[in-house]
Amino acid sequence: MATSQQQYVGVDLDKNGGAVTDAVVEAIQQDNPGVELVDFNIYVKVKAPQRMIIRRQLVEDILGRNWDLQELHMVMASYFGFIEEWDEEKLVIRWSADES
Amino acid sequence: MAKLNVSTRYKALTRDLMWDPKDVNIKEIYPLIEAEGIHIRDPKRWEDPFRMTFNQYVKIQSEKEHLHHAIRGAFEANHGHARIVDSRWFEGVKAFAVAVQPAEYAAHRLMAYIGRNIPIEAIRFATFNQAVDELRHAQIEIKHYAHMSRYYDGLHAYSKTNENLWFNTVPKSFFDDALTSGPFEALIAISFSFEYVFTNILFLPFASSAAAVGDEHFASVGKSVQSDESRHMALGMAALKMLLEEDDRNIPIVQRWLDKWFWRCYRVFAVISTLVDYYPRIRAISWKKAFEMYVEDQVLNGLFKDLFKYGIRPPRHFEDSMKEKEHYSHATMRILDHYKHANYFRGFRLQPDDYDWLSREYPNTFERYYAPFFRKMDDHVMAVASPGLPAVCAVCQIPCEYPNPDRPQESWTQYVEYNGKTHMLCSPGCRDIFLAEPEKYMQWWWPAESYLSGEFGSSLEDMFEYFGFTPEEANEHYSSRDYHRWIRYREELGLDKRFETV
Repeated sequence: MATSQQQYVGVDLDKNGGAVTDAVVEAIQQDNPGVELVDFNIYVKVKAPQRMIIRRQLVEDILGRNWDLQELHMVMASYFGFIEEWDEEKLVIRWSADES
Repeated sequence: MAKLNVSTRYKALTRDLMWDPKDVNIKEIYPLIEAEGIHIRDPKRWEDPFRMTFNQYVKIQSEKEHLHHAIRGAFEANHGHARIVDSRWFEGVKAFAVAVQPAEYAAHRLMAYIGRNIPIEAIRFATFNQAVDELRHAQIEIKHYAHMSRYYDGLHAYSKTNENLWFNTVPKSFFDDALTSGPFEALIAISFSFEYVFTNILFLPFASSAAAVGDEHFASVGKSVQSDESRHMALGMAALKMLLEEDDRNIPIVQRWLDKWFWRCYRVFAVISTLVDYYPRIRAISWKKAFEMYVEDQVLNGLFKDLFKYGIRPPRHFEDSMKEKEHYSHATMRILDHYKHANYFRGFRLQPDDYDWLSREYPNTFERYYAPFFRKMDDHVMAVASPGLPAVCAVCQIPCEYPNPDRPQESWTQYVEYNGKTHMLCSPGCRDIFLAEPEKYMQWWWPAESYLSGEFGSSLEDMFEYFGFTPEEANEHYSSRDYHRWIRYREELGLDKRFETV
């Protein structure tokens, strides 16, 4: 596809998550360049060009308590991109079109 | 288990879901595995990226259930239904009840079918989880309608209406189509095309609209359902990548499925466009903007750029869906309006603020092509009811009343001669699906034909009895008994009072 538009990856987070949602958003902003937030009433869309990482340790530091990455299932309503890694320490979402 | 890391724990808890049979040929156990021409070399390489194990699944799902039912309980106890901004919203919820809930249940059956027929551990475990998810969705949705039915029409014989209403051939035939496909096609159809490409546009705008109009209960249904979707999307993406990377011979087959199911899913979402643009009096987003955000940006401009390296191009007719975004909800609402006298979710008179919003969001099309129709309908609510029976598309089963987006004064209806019979299709997208598998689609069931042959009984009363509701439960909302009941319900609670501040 010959288009110059930027490819974004991202997640839609449920604001019901309260402090957890806020901490995940802040962690994404600290760890990734070019993050954009789109407020969507009961959800917030967090997007970044090409690649996004969410690290458990950083979310814990911001939240001030233990946090298991599996808890993300409670608030991550949707995502876009390929999930490249998901283990106990981090989640990486990316597109890989630039590799080929 | 405490010391195992995620991938080791996943392996330990999902291994041995598969084994090699000694006494029978594996192909006898999985008779469909080669039927579609798909080649899989090393299925063990494929993992669910979420690597969720059963104990984690149960724990997370039970938390979601507790959260949802706490919100539901509070909403019901506090008479939430009386407090929303406008009761016409419930007509949209009724549409959702027959369009989406049966789809959830059908998806549960479909996931069981895929898991049964594809002997790959990761897919088997993910489809098992998803089958249970889909049952959960069907149940929390039904629970919502059960409570609504205490106050509002149309839902009292839900299982019958769900089974027999003419409109329901749309979602039913869609899932029947997937269920009668091979297991890999079904996986691409539902896990990828439906879940990855389109479910966002279903639950995110609709749950936002629910919250905007004050239906916190339905917002919670939408959010609780959507919270499972990331997992379903991950399955679709993993399955797609697996099929494309395992063998080059799979690529043209997958392309054919993507072409077919993109349009199939897009059309089954027609009624959703009216739930976004019409039924909520306060809208969260327009169909057009939601389509641009979720389908154009995230899928066509995001995902399909990535698939280019496999030789995959964007799905056939995707340009048509982009052109139609300025017409889709209006043309679909007009169809619903034509047949509202025989439908259990009512149409409604557009209000001045509705005309304002629709004109603003659709400056190129609404005033020019659609507002005149609705103005006429608002003056004479039943004058524009279609007196006849709808000619229905042989593929999507929606009445063939879509305009050609390039020339909106003209119909988009297509005609195909097959086996001595003329078949009508609503669009070039559905026509090409018919032409690729005419033997399948020539078997479609047309409710009008069944009505005329007496299958629904000999009179109109019989037909309504068969549908499970009465003529008083159809038609137009603001002149209906539902609206008057809602007004009385609010009066009883004192919600009609205006409090002056001096």
